[in-house]
Amino acid sequence: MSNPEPAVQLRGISKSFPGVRALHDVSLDIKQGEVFGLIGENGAGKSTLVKILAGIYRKDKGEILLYGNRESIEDPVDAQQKGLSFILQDRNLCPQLSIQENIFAGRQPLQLGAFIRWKKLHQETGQILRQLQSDLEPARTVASLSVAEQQLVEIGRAISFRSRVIVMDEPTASISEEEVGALFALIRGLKEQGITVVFISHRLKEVLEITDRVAVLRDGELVKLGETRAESVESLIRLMVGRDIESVRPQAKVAPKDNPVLSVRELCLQGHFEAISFVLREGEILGFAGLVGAKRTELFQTLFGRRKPTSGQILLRGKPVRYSSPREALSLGIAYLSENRKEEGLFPFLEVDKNISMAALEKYTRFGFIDRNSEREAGRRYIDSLKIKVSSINQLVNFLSGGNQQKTLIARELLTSPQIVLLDEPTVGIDVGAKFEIYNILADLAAQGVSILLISSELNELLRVCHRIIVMCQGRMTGEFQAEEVTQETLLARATQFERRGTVESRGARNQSGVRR
Amino acid sequence: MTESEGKSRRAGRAVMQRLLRNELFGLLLALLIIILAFSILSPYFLTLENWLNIGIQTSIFFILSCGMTIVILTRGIDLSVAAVLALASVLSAQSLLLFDNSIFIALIVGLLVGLLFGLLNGLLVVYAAIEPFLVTLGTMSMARGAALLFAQGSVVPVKNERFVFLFADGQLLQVPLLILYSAVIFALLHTLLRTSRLGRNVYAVGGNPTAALLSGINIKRIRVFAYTLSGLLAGFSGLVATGRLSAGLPNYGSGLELDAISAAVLGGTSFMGGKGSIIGTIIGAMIIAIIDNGLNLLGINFYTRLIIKGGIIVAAMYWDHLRQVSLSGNK
Repeated sequence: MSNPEPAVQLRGISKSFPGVRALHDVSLDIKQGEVFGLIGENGAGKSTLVKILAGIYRKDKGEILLYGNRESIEDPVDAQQKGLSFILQDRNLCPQLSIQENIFAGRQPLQLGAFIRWKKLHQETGQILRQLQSDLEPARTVASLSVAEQQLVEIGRAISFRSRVIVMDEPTASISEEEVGALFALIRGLKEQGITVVFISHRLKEVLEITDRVAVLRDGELVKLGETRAESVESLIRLMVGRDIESVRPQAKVAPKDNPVLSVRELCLQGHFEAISFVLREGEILGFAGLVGAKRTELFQTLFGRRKPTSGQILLRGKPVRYSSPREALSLGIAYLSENRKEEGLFPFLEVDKNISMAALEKYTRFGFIDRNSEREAGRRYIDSLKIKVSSINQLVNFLSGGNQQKTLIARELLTSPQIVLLDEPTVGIDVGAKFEIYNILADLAAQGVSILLISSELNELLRVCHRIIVMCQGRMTGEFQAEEVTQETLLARATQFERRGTVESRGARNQSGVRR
Repeated sequence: MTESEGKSRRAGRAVMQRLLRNELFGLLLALLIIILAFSILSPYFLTLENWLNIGIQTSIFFILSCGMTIVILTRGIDLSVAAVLALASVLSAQSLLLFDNSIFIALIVGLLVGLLFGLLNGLLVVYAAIEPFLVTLGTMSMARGAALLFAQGSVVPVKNERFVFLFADGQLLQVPLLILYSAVIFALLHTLLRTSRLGRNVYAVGGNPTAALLSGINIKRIRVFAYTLSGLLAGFSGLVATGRLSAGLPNYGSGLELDAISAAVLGGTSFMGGKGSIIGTIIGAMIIAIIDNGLNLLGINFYTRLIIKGGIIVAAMYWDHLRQVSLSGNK
């Protein structure tokens, strides 16, 4: 045989869950040593496919062949032993242990059958890290590492298992653009060593950049498998969505009005950010660009009353206000969408309509009791207007796809009839179709006179949606631009404008005393 | 197979799946099977007399279980209920002696003891930020100690027929008062959880505390409320205990808090909070109470019954785990 056997071959894989057909007759082959892209909207079946390969789900039908041999993957340990490793979105590490203990967890070199040979452990870990072009100290605790570094540790663990196939699910979702570059260099290195990488991402540009071939899933079926070279962002979107998205073109923006809604003056949160000043006008979408650690989230949390500013002033429509809880912020007309959909947004065991009404329940309460009819009606209204896909209004929010969960949470914010909406990474981890729908929702809101503050790590998203963009770095404002007058390159340059003196943390004390005097 | 046959079969399967996904259906099914089995095994089991007997004997257990459910819904736990019950029982009995047999004062004392201990639990959980398990472990010991201290290690006799009538033996239109009280409490708590904003907030705080906070819910107040309510119900149960035994008993009900937790969890209340219902808990409590009663009728001794009861709870949890797993698609 001239061609080597594919590393992974799937034949006719099907999988159903109660009420949902997650995968239907999917057949594909992943060649040895290639970078294989796997894309699709949320709910298209990517995660299900990965979980079947990882031995977490059992397939209903079909066969899996590894290097030409039919294999059954019993459980995650079995998958590991068969040379498949998985880097999932949720880090799979023990944060309080060191890098070396994590990489060799359960397989530490021992003496006398019970005692860890620390020196050897250190050496072997160092070897693996060097193989990955990293100079991290093996004894460092994982908790002290950045997300990108933690990913590296997981890749290191995969290599220590001599895995031949590494599946990465959304590896770039929570790392900065710089770190993405480093990750790609690493993936190319793995490829040179003959290791197969399956790269799953919503970021199509990255898929085009790094993968050799790409498979597109839609509604549980494989709709395309081909050379990446032949594809473009537009063609991939078309394949994923099954239709053209007109809104891929930049949207027409309605110009904001002149009157300021929110004015922030010299706002400072010790240890996080300082000297933040800006004005938000009625109907304006103001974006916040920055890398991980720019403290944009902390700024939003402060504006929503979750944190108490150390100094500075917040004015709503010209009047100074003080508030110290989300409850008060909501009553002042400020709504907030957290970046952590699951941890800080969803009530998993409640129905969609109850999730939507949660922050505005007051409106539907009479004498302490909830008027279910008007509550449901409000839920229905937003399910229609935001096009939230549900099988019924009684569906538990847990069973919705990521994009629809996000829209549910946006509906919750909108139901409070806010004047100012704070959105922290509203499109992370959701599919392209839903993304564009969210852009449209934001544009509509702004046109209706709602003012929006938006954090996003995707610069082109900010450029597309916002009127104006503020750049932050290490808790300071390092730039402010009109969206039409700035490029991604400039934004990135300002976002990396680090100060040599270190972060706000070390300077906080100095400022503090200055203010007091 | 024709098209329509396939369709109807699919529809049938969908209905089955919906039923299986409904926890209450499974519980109800288990309850019916248990009732059926005991009806066959014991001729006395399915008599009205026996069922009224169960209702009276287990009313305290049912009421405590409902309070426990609300606490667990907020991601908490209340280990102190049985001890608070004993303290309320002792103090209400003593107040009858002290205040010239005033039932009103005894009622206030019993309820107040429960309310204050519940409030203390809630405040410690919320403001001292101590784990609910540890807080209520501490207050459990405090309440039990106080009960023993006030009763001086002995029982406090009650010789007040009206009190005993009101909290134990009485009937209204031939319905035992205790069953009536329980029914009213169930109805109130069920309505509270299902239709009031407070009830919704209980689910929200347990389901996702951070999201609740960000939705403008005063999560501290909701937590304090849950413990206070549980304490109040324990206080009321203390009055019932005093009535039923015609005495304030400082040792009464030890271990009852664990039975209440079992009933709530068996009834589908999630230890993670945010999931569960009063109806589920009542069915869960019925399963436990009926198995106990049935086995008793069959002449099985108390010790063996304890073992069987424990085994059934573990088995039910395992079955629930399997069900969850099959629904989520995991193996």
